[in-house]
Amino acid sequence: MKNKKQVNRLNKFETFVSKNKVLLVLLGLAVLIIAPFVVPNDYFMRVLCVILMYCTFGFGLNILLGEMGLMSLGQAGFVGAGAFTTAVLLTTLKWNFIPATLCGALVAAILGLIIGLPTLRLHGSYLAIVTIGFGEIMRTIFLNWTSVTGGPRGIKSIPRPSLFGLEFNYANKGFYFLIVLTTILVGLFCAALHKSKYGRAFATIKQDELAATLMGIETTRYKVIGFMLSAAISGLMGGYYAMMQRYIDSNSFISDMSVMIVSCLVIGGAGTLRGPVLGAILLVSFPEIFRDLQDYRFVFYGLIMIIMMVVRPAGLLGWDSTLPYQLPRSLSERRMKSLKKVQEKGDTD
Amino acid sequence: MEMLNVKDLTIKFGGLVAVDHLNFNVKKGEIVSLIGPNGAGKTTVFNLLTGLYTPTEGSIVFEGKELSGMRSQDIVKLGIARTFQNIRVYTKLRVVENIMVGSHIHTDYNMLDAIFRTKRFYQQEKEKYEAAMAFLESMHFAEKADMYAGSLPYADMRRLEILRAMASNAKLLLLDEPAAGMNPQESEELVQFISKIAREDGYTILLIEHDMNVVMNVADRIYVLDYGKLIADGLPAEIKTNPKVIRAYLGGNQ
Amino acid sequence: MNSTFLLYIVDGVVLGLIYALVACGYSLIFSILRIVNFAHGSIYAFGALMTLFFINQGINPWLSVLITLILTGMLEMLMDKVCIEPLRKRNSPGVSTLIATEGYSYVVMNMLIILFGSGRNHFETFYDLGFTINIGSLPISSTKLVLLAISGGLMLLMTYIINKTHVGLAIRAVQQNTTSARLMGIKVNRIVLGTFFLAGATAAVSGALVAGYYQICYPTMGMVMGNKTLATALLGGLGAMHGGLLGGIIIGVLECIVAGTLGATYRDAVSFVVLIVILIFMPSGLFGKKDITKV
Repeated sequence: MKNKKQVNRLNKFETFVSKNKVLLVLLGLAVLIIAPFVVPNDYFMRVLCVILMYCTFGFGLNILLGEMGLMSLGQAGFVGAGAFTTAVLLTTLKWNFIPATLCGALVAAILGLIIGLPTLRLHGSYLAIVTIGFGEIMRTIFLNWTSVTGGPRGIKSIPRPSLFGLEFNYANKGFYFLIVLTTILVGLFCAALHKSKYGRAFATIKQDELAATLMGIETTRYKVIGFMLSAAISGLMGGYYAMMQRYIDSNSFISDMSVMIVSCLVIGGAGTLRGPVLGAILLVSFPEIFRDLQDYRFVFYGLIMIIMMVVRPAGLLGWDSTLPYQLPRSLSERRMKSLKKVQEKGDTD
Repeated sequence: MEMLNVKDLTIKFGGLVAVDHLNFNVKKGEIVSLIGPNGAGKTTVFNLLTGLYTPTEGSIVFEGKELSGMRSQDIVKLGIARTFQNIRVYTKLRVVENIMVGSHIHTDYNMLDAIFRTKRFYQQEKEKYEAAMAFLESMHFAEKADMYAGSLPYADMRRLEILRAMASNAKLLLLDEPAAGMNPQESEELVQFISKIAREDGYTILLIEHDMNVVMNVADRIYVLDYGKLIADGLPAEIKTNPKVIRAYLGGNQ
Repeated sequence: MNSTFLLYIVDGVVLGLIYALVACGYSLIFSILRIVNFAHGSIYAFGALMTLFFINQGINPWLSVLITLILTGMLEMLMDKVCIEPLRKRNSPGVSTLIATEGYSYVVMNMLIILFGSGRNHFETFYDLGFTINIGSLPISSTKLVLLAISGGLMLLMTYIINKTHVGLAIRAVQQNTTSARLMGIKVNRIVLGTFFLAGATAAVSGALVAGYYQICYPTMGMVMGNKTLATALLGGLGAMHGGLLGGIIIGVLECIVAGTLGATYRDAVSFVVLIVILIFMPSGLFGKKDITKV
């Protein structure tokens, strides 16, 4: 149980954050912009990209696990579907990367629909196991559909994304900024969804699906939407994953990846967007920092998962906001409000 | 004019007849109470009315429409909302958000509106929020609007559940043991509250209740169920002295 | 053609019994605590590797299995103490337990990799009696027979323990209603620990048997096996022992047929395809009890 003191401290922190929102956003952007110029080499650049990718994968899973409480241990299947679709479109059909990644997202979303529909009646462990199964089935397909996925040989020399002849790569930092942009857009998308009737409907499904049904909420529809969105986000970033690795095969998308995605979200704090950000930073950079402990890396992952669940199951950054409910306001309304404030100030002066 | 008319309502679970050819009706603006010993099938009746179960036999007509076979969601849209024996408010949502969940079915912007934050989105969110706040204000609940439902005192949680049901623009409220677990003062307040929403705000109420003080004080008419069958109905004063009812409650030979 | 098909069925039944044996570890724990122990696969691998370790020390294989059985039992009990009991006491959501046991699985599996290396180790079949019997034109090796006998016998023993002994009665009492079982003087914690021990023991035995059958063992062998047997348990209906048996045989036979006709690479997906198809129509598996939500 949270005690009062903690709540007070949290409240202060949150008030500070909400008051200085603009400043903090600018600060965050500054860090994201400066980061690639500070890292010593392409290797670290790649680490930054991987962090951002897992961040996005986390956003995707958050819609299922965080918002609706539906466990998916098969996210790698969606990532893989997006990655292979993008890779095929880029290599054999020589598409531009924008429609290619979007198609990747679409294919993943369709898979989300296919896996979402039969699992609607399943909960908890049953759902988790079926999603594991989905991941395994996807891997089998990647391995055996040789004419498309290259089978055991995989797909080689996937081109970097390019636009109007300009290639986005590590050297010109273009690839990094492309991923930053995508991550931010996905994050904004999830935030917008959360603070709308969709977010509320998701929350009712997580907390009490039966009561939600009896409030007239079309739970089935929202669950399918959730599955499709989660899959689409994973598939979209999967496309970038393919372009980053430049080589993918069925072994790129094993259940380790799914577990890693779940860990990022849960350790950071499921149900929040700040959670996967921190989770991805910690879990991706951890093995890079402790390279000597490479062998023990997964032992530590496991230990962290256990300790987190026992000590802080809500995740490091998982807390319920203590601030009063904030109505989403359009920019013009906000400007009006701040103008009013200034005027009032002028009046009292 | 009868708002709700239940005819020969029957449901069997395997060999068990949980509700057996039940007939009753509720008129607009009335407070009708469904009572009976534990296991008499009262909550099952609510589950039938709200579409959780499909009746084996019989009909449920609400404002001229047949409900049996309809999905729960569509029944809510027609104007029947319920509360639960064990409270089912959304503890991890704020009070005002709980109310806005109640008005979810009347919020009809689509996903693109939500993502691109169109004018329609802002307008509707604002409208629903302001309506929720005004509603809470009128129910003397506004000061708790920003609290998490889970941190409310017990009696308030029960009240919030009723408010949430009202927020769906329901005409008929089904209250499942609203006074359960309340102390005498709290149930007294609840009686006043239920009378007020029926008499002043025009809601029609069907309630299941064990607390006889509450039932006798608030109900216009009472139906008594035992083993899924209707054993008596009438005004509170009649029911109080009905020997069949007393026998059902106290046991004893037929 | 016909005899190859028969061979698939015989191999499938053997495989199915192994799956059922591993799966009953899941069922035992699920039926008593309503949780899925995602570490079971890793503990199964631990069982195989530890048995090999003891055999390599020159200990009799059967004795090695017995020692390992105690170790795996303790490993499962430790898991309950460290990552499940604290969550149970707090009434945490199922997702927390899932992640905690998945974490435990990672720890066990990767400790095995550190200790034994990630490579494949040869595991001499220790129950080859050196004869083959022919049923018609169908040769059945003694290994298969022994495997069939042991896993079948163990399944029977498990069913006997659960249904006919005092311990089993206590387990079933805790399954049905923990609180009233406690009120009746059953030491619930001890029963829970005992169940974990039993589950661990089945993991060790099946680990050693399977490793001996395929003459190979490696730390990640539990991953695929764990997932598949979980599918088996689910297919039969979690908590239903006889369901696990039927589920195991269905999956085992289908796997052998698919591997023989389509190719071995399709093998691992079979169990899940079957599972998903069945769950669409029967959300609680073949013999699982339906969870009725009380309103």
